[in-house]
Amino acid sequence: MRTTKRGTTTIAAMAAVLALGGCYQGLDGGGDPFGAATDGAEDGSGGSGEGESEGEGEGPLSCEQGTPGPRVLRLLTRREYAATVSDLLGVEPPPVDEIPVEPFIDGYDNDAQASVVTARHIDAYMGLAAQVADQAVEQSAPTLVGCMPEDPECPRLFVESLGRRALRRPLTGDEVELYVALFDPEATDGDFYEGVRLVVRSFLMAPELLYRSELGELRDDGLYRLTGYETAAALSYGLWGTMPDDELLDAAASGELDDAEGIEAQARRLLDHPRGRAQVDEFFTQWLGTGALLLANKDAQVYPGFTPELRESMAAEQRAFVEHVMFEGNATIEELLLADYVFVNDTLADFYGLPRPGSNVPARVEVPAGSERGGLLTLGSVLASHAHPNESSPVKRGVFVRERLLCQELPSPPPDVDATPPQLDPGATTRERFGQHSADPVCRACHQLIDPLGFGFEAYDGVGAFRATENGLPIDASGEVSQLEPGAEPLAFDGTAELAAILAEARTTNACAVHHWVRFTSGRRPTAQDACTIETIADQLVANGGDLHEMFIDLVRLDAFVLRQDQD
Amino acid sequence: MLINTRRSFLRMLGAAGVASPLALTLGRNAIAASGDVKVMFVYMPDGVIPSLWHPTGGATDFTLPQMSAPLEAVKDDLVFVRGLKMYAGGATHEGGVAKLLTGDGPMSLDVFLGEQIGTDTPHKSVQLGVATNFQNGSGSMSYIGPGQQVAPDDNPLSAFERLFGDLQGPEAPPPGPDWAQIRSTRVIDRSIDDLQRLRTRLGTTERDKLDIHLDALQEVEAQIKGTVTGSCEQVVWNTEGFAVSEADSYPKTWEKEEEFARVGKLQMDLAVLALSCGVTRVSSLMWSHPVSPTRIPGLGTTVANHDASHYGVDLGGSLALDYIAYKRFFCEQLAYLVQQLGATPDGDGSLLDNTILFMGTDINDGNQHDHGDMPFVLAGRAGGQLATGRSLDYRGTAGGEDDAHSKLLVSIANMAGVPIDEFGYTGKGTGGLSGLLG
Repeated sequence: MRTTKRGTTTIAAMAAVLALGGCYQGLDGGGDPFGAATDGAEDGSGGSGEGESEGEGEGPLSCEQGTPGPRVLRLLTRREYAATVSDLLGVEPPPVDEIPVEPFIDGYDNDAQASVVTARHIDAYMGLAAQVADQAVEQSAPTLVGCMPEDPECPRLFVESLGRRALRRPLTGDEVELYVALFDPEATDGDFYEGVRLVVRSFLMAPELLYRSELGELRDDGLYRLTGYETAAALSYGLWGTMPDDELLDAAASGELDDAEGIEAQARRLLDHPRGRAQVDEFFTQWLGTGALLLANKDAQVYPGFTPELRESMAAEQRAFVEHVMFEGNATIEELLLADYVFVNDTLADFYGLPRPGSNVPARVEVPAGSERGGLLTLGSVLASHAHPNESSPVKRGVFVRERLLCQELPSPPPDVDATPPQLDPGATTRERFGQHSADPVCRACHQLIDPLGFGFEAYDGVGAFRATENGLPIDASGEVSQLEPGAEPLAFDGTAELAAILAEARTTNACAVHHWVRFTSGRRPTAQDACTIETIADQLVANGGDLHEMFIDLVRLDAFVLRQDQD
Repeated sequence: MLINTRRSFLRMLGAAGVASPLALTLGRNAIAASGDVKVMFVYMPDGVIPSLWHPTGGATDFTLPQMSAPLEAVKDDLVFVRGLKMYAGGATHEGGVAKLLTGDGPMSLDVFLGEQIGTDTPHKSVQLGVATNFQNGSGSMSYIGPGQQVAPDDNPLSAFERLFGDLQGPEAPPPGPDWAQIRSTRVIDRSIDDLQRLRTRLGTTERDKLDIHLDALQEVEAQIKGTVTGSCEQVVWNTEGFAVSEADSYPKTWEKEEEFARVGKLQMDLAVLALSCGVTRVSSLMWSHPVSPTRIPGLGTTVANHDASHYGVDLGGSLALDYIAYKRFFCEQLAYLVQQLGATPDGDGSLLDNTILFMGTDINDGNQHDHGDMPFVLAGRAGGQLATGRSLDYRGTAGGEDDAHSKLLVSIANMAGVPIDEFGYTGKGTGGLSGLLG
């Protein structure tokens, strides 16, 4: 493969990860097999040479068409499971508390490798399946079954029609027989609807319902190409977080999903649907790490005003803002970071010191450009989520910018380091107390990359309230962005508005958004090979004026979207 | 059957003023399973202050400092172990909890022992938790495969139902065929068949994933069919008035800080019941999780557990005092658990006589994020294999360095009758921990 300009960018971007991973020499060589953040840094430090050959080398595809992902089973998350059951049977989403929580890997709940089915899962799935089958039969048996019980063909017709939606593909003749056999009087006691319940329960326990199994069919070149139905599932779970609807299944059946144009048309339809919006909201919540906002412990003595109502108002603000930018605005990183408006309800307007919109739901309020609110960095949800229970956190906020916005993974602190945060001191600012990081050479190696970013947020306390002073001392929110691109000179800034302006212009920030969307939709940590795809799409993103909505479309148009390869 | 009793049980609990203590009667002949060695693992979050934790004095004549002092009442049933290091793996809290029971290998000892000695019991191993899923909730100590966590069950009511759901409750079983059992078995068999068809289309890694799934299906199927059962004819479990309120969207009732202690007691009682009734031979209990954001009401503390763990330099400072209060709380709970095990008959002696219990944490010194000189505690006599009332120190015993904690894991497996000589990390050699047994 030719060495392209894009290939060069790939290697350069990976070198940036390397630079951060090597910010101190204490990294444990053994690596952490359990998904700690250090993995990525270590991959980077060991793999920059490999990246060159894997990214551009003998693979059957070019960077332009991406690298096919591995053939994996992806267990539905509880959110996906509840939505799927609800859509399949027309019942309310079932309660999923009894299903074990997903492991959170890199902040995402859908890691394909880490999620497995234990006995407690089976117990919960069995209980829910029985409950939901009863409910579906009680509520709408004739519609569900679609034929008359007296009709001897009815069990087969029912199995075929429900099966196609449950397994997201037509059943084979064999499979139809196996499910029809559940109408065995020895199991139903002659009750037709017991047979219906058994079929429903069995489909709800089918591995092909519980997992996304987009495995593809083997081609001559050794790669696997997704079938139309698998493509439909990849689209619906990626863009909706649930099973395909009838239109999508019909598109699969008619061959419409066999080319990029057909895929694009369906992808656009899905994205414009309310479920597409909800999925994009969910992505932002996991990407920005704000899912804990509603749950986070905050010290009520320090922050008595941080009420449940305020938390909910902040969560609602994020949803409203993201939906506006992504679906009514121009969907760019620039607008996300630099918006000169906010979406607040009265509660949040009071908290922000803005005029009340006279509304319990978030409404648009204009703010002057460069003021203390506006854009992702000053969302209450972001500020409160990346802070301590009783104070702000320059470290958490600096790490947030590095890892979530710039995709530069930082290693954990070295073992045996004294990680005691400085004690609260009523006579000093947080910034002064954290100054030790830059004084101590062991800490400084990494913290010089973190703290000067985090200090830029110091005008916001631990719950995101604006403050001009702390403990009677004036706030210093000056900072600098170093290593924005590999080898780049540090850029000085003062406060979040100037930081946002720097980030909004940077290609790195755009590439990072691609990285996180790929992480979210693929259910796995992008590899050195994926870097090639990510960089290609990032180039297109920048060329398109930064339209993230179009980036979602660019990704499903890649050959890699419908191709898979064996991983072992 | 599981399904039917699920409803009747929930109905019972839903009734005002929940029957307490709650008694259910087993509807089938019980088999005796007492006398075998049982294993229990307990986790407490975020390390200790070493100077206020480790015993002082001789190996058998020691006193306990401030943090571990609540264990004084049961210290004759304990073995304090210090000077072991959790080698390899990730640094920090999350890395620590990940290797606590794995020794940095792919599977944790509770799951492994469940596979080895749990096949005659309805549940191979049982993972219980107290607010382990609260907030960030990441970091279980139980792993079924590389990076594949087994999340503890934080809801004692659902855990009870899962463990004792085959008990009939106050209603007698209806006469005639057991339709619920027949139908559930059909569903599981259908699922197993589908799974095996899917399996043939996959490579090794994904087959491993489906094999875990298949094991789970077979475990639950055996429970439904009643081919393996517990040994208790009657189970008495005092729910202490605990009930789940539908109004609690988040946190769920069982994750609420004001329920922490009560849920903890229910989970400990449940673990003792499960071991005593042969529902399982391996149980684990996690108190909160690494970097614990939990504040336990009633301790007089002002900050959350993890925040207190960074206590600084002043052992009399408010953070240190809070940290001490948290650790004393966890020790009080362990003392209660040990006493309950001791008060429960099993075989010719007590459950404590026949159990090996291990308590550990994710780091050593809360201030420092290190994994050397870990503060571990063992309890129980493992069927007479372990002499208790001792304090052992392994600092510097492996060529001048701390010995590896993975050797302690080997010793625990050996006490449970599983003859392995390595588990995870082997950089300090293989075999069990010298001087622990015999």
